[in-house]
Amino acid sequence: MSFVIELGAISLFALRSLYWAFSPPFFFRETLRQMARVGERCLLPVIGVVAPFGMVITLHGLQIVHIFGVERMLSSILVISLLRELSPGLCGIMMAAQAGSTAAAELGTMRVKEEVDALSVMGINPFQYLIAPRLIALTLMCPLVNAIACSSGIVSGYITAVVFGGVNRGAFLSNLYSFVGVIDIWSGIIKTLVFGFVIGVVSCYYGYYVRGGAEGVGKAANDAVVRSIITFLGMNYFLTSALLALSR
Amino acid sequence: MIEYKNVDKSFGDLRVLDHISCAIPEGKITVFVGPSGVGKSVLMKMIVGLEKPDAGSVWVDGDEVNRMDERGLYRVRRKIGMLFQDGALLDSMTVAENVAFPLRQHTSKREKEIARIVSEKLALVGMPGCEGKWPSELSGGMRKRVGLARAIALEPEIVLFDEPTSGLDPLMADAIDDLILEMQRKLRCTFVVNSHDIPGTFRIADLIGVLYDSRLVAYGEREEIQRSRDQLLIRFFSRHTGR
Amino acid sequence: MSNTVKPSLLTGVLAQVGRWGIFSFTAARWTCSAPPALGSVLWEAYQIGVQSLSIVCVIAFFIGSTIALQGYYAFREFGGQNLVGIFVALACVREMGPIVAGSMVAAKAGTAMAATIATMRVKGQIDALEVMAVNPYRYLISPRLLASLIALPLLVVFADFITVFAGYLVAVYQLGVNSGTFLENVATYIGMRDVFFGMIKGGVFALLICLLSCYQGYYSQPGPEGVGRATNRAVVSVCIICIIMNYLLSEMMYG
Ligand SMILES: Nc1ncnc2c1ncn2[C@@H]1O[C@H](COP(=O)(O)OP(=O)(O)O)[C@@H](O)[C@H]1O
Ligand SMILES: [Mg+2]
Repeated sequence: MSFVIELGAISLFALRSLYWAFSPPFFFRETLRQMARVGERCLLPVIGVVAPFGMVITLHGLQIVHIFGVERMLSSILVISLLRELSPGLCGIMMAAQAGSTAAAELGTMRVKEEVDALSVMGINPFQYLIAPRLIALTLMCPLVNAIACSSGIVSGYITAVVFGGVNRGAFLSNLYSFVGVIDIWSGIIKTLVFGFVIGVVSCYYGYYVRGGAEGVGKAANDAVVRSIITFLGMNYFLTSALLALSR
Repeated sequence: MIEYKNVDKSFGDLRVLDHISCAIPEGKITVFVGPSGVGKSVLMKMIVGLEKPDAGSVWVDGDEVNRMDERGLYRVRRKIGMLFQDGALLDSMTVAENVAFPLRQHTSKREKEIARIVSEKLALVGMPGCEGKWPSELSGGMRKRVGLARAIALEPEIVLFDEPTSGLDPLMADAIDDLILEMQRKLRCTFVVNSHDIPGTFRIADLIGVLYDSRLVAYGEREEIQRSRDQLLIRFFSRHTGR
Repeated sequence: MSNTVKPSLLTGVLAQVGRWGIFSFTAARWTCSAPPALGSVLWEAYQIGVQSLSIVCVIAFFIGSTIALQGYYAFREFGGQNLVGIFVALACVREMGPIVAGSMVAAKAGTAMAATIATMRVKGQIDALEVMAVNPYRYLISPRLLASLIALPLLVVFADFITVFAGYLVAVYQLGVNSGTFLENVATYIGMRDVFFGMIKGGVFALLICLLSCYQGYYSQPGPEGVGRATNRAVVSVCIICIIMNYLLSEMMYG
């Protein structure tokens, strides 16, 4: 359980990154570039996972609603489960696998090739130039990607239910939001903001402190993915508890 | 004996080999020289069936390797050793395990016997006593030596060297050339070498083939090539002298 | 190496699928006709199992507890919060157990397979194997294939237990569901059959994860970027295909 001890070091690293992220000079261009890269790397894979999940929920849901004869509930079930839990979770996992591992591998490679040291020698703070843009990019892009992915899940559910499942189109559409509260929208945004931040911090930490040459970089990328997933799923439990308790 | 008969090869629009024909005799060192990217590695890989010609045929000891199925190819490969451009050692294994690898895969020798052969081969390539090292701890020249030890572990009849001296400093390159000469004297088997290093080529070769612009522009005994009055060859050798 | 004409998206995907089919067929043929040594299979299985066990357990724990939370609040709307045991049991054992185990093996062992094989391809070590007359399918793929077939179903059982256990803890100690009711619900709605079906799902996932990851590694593009790209492609293709496969299997088993 050395990871528990490491969590302390990661928290300090997070504070340090935040401190530097909010002190000038700001690298806006670099931050925008990182955001574009994160979007480019993650959008399709996240949609690729959430959309089939929307289909699967709808197919399962169809059986249940037929049994209980509550066909109009189908779209609410779909939207609620995507919005509250599935879309943020899947989005976090895929973004960790795609963008988190990339960030860790890039920082690790730069460390191994002594480029990080070279930056410091040139008077550029690696926390400001390398870590802050990646951290901000992941934190901000995660909710955005999640919103798009969630919509894609709903669309694929709609297609499955209405086009292939023979569900009444009006019943599906009019009940989409009947159980959705403002808190559910907010919970998706808050969760993915936290997830994105966790992925950013953990990935940058493992990349920045990489050890052991080229193999070390590969290990850092893998550690980054696995441990950021563990960390944000752990937080997810507490967030879910809090948000569900709040919503009633 | 290895024989190329009218071998053509293209990658997409890029014509790499154009009507190559030659016979590589047994028990000699044959060196193919040419600028990098001319297709030397592709030509060499055809001997072991890693590349197939688009047209023409490649023969090894009377077997047409470009038409063989996998099992046949593995039979041919058993008598060939190959040293890759940067050794191609398996990173997950120590030096000793790398050299022992073909022995473990293809023979049922006992561990003691394998250990003996490994240290013998490592001594032969000038790397005695580094059995326990990992490939990532070795320099480029050392990796090539270990790769060579692995290539000769099964006592092959044919050894292929893909650019054994490229990427090395001049002293190390000379040492590798010496090693090739010495090994050939000891093992008496067929060596085929790719190189873009002209002085080294003149030092080790019995036969020389010159690849230029996707064709084999000259092929013959070393003296014959060295004495040739052919304008293209003179230009080629004078431009590429010196490392 | 083939020299393909510039492909459109559709023909590109079709060509990939076809090549993957041939790859898988070849791997299966070599695994059956010349099975790898038992020692190397067990060693790989140990590696995969141990590599993924701790993370499977941790994640299973969080998934189980979150499912209990969601189920509790959803059922409370109809006053059925005591039925949360049924929801936890069915969702965890039938769906989440195999998915958690599969996705973590994909994330850890699958990416490791893709990265290792891609690195070997990029560094010319696979060519070196062939020249040494060692069949790469037999040496690299078969042991991993059999090993994941052994390891993943076992991990599924772990994940089943831990998700339900975590669900129990949350339901009983956090949400105040009656412990006896919860256990009774679990026992009535879940049998050995469900655990066994979950293991079969695990086996299918194992095949897909191993064959897709090894395929992406085996046909990796040159250069160090090639390794990274192969690894990422492996994760994404495994995730998408396993989600769809999971649905089809659930349909066949419980539909
Ligand atoms: N698998 C391949 N796909 C496409 N082009 C290739 C491939 N292998 C080699 N080539 C091309 O063939 C030419 C010859 O390559 P090679 O035999 O490696 O040259 P060298 O003489 O330096 O060893 C190069 O231009 C290279 O780009
Ligand atoms: Mg070459």
